[in-house]
Amino acid sequence: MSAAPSLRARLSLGGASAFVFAFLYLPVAVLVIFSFNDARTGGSWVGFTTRWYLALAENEGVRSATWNSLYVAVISTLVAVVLGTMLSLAVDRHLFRGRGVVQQVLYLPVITPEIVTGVSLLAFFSLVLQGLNELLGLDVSEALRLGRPTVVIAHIGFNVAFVALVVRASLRNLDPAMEEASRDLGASAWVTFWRVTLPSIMPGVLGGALLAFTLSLDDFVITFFVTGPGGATLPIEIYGQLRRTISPEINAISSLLLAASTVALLSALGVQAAAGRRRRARLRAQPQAGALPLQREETAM
Amino acid sequence: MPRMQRATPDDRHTRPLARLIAGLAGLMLLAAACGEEATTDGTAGTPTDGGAAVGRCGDPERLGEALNFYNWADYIDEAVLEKFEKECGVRVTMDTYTSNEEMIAKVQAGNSGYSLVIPTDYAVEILIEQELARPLDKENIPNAANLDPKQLGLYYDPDNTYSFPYQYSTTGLAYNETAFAEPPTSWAVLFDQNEHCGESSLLDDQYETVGASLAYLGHSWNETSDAAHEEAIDLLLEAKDCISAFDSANFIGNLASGEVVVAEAWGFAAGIARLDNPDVRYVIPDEGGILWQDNFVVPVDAPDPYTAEVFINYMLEPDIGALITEYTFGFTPNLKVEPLLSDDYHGIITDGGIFIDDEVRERLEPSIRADTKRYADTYKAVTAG
Amino acid sequence: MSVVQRETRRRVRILLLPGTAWISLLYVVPALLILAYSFLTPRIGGGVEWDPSLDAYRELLAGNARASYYNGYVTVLVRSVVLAAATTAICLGLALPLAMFISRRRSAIAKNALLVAVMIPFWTSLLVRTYAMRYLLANTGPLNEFLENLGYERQAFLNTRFAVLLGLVYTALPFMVLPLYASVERVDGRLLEAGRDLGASARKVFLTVFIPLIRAGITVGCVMVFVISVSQFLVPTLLGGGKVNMVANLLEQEFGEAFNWPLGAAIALFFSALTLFSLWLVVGRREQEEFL
Repeated sequence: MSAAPSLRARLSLGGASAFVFAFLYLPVAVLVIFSFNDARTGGSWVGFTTRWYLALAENEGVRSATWNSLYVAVISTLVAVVLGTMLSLAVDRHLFRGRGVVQQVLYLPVITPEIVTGVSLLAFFSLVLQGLNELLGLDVSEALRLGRPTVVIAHIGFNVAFVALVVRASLRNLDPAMEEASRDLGASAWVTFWRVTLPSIMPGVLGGALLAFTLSLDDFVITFFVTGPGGATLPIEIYGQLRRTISPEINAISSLLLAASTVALLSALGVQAAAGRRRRARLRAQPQAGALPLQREETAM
Repeated sequence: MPRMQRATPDDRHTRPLARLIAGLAGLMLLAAACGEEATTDGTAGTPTDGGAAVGRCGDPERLGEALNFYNWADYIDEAVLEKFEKECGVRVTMDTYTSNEEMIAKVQAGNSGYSLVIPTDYAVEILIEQELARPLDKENIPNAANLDPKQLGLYYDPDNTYSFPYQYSTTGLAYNETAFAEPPTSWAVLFDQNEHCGESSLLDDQYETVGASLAYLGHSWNETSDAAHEEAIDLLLEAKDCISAFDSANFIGNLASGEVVVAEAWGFAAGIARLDNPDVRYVIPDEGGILWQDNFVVPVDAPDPYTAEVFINYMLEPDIGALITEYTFGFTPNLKVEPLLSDDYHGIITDGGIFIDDEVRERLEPSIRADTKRYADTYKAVTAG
Repeated sequence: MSVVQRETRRRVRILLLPGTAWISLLYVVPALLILAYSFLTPRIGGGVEWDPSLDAYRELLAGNARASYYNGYVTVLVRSVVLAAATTAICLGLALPLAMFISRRRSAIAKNALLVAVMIPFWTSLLVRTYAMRYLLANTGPLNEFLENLGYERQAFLNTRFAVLLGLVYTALPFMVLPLYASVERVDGRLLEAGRDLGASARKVFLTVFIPLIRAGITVGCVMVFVISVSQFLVPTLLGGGKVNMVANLLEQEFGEAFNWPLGAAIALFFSALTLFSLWLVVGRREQEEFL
């Protein structure tokens, strides 16, 4: 690489990083270990058991909450990725009246305290639902009300902003010359986007999707205010169960979620790596050397 | 130019990922659609048991298929919901809250979707005042005849037009007896004679914490004069250093694990802690505690009031009531439930000091919560500093 | 920046509309609603009566005589800002070596794997992770057990500013690592080499060449961490025990038990304005352009 760092510098860098990793993983390790603890109150280690994982099969509340969490996270992430990418393309690539305002609007979800969003959305949704019910003449038993759909709508709201911000960072570093060249060669706007722009910003898009998914899964305050019957997500369910004692079943489901998302993430990475290897092999087979810009994609999110 | 040609990126890079995501999304949507169908199909409103069950399940013609129930977290044995579904064919979806204010906010916003909520005394008064409570059709709740008259006709609903009692309990002092040479009898152990610094907690509730300090100073829990509250602020600010937390969520586990050895607590909470740790006991201090009650209320925009009332009646059945009380360690207002309660339950209540007899009742005040702003300001002065 | 043509104007509108509309509908309109609420009177049980009043602002600005020890709105606001600033500084100190370490790895796979390793803890529920921290810091928890075994006295770690700070850092760390890494990765190593070649010490090169080059990443990271930390709710609630209240707890009290929505709305608006203003001051015009 560049100026060779001294051994001491390298060691301290490695040491500091190891410390940070330890800090990050300690609570997680505790979590996973205690999901196997044979005691109801999370006091001290009693013995090994898998009964909490088995009990999960019976725990209706936790199961439906987990399902709701995943459902909301996937749907809101997908919609947010599409809308957010579109949004950042428009803002980054074009000048238009009101561009400054749009940029400020983009920051609203990031800057507003969640509790304010939660309360104001509760008020807002309720008014809207009331109006709709009257308009459509729905009686009390069929009325539109708060529930999982309102949670999805609320999550899309903040996810769009986060995705847009992350993709924006990616777009900035893209050389517009490539897209211009593509257009000059006769490709339509859509084809240019799909085959030139998108692959180049894919790390940014994936990073935004990852962020959105995590934010949605973890969201408590906003979800809390806008949810309704049958719409409880995992954090809401867990918070409700805290009053008694935090059952190791919660540890168990968290560990399972952790395992599932790790697997998903690693396989996504694996796919990326495999595609990269195939492409490099193909390029090496070409008479001329591979282009530099492409290699940039390989480097991480 | 050769370089430009090679600049066309390989979309094989994006395709597998795109396909994976699209596939996942499709699966989710499909599953969701199927999932929805399964729940709306539901079981018919006819009871599966024989004729004897009809009484417990009301009129099958009018009974709905589903009921949305909004209750305190961990305040009912889920077996009750399962039994109701099995006997009467109604699928009960229960969501939970951890404070009356949460529940009121949802109900007040309208279109909450809940047909039954469980407000505490003062919250019932608020719901009635705000015209959010539906008068109960007593014909659908014949079991109300078994309710203890002492728990009926209370200040918030003098004719029980809108509510019936669910469970009641007290607020007092819970402690670990191994940490005390003599059992404590005064709030002093949390205030100016606190010898367990960092191992004591107060409830995170403006009324209950401020009220306890008012009682200790010789006033009523419901005292609203500025002078009294200023005394309370002084007392609490001094006591604050030794109090480890203002906590209504974790103190049960903390008492059980020994993290905390003395805490302001609800009676039923002490019972739950005692289950895990037999050293936990409870007492209503000499200066006084409060008696409060949780109630059944049907919101005015309930989607299915009839089924809600049938469910209330069902929960007032003696065997069901016993299930609930044994689980929550609260007190049942249902006279028919008393004889069915197990020795284990009585053991915990009696040995734990949680019981209420005439002597204890002398020290109890009703939970009223008038002038919330006064209590809010006092509590703010204490917690924000 | 490409030239705008007539046909693209329509495309721009299509691209912009859904996303912007969604955010506006969910954030701008409700914000206006909250603004309106701050000028009304509280309703018993929560919500507002449509009855104009300046009481909320009067209380916010002039204080509340009855809560006589209570210059408290200010205390809580200041505490929130200080804690958030401390969190930002600590996150920067922890994330920078990490970002540099990851960036120095030779293979892309290793880099990706390490980044994934940073993200994985954040795939568990924040609630549960925070509870794990509670368990670790408790009086009867492993940390205190360890201290006792070493002969020291047990300490109350939980429900202190230390615990809340720890929780805030833990929650916000990835928001610093990712932007920082993105910046560090883009640094051209040859510039650093040049610095060394010209005779500067490693330390000087680091301070005068490296840091300015990653300024964009530092700025984005710091802004995100600060904003996330200052309005945190769960961490001060779960790790502060009501003794380390931050703005979100104050708001929860007003919108909740105190049934004073107008005051809550006023505090929220005041606080948001304060945050925006200080960001504007600190970040400065040029950087705003860069990452806006």
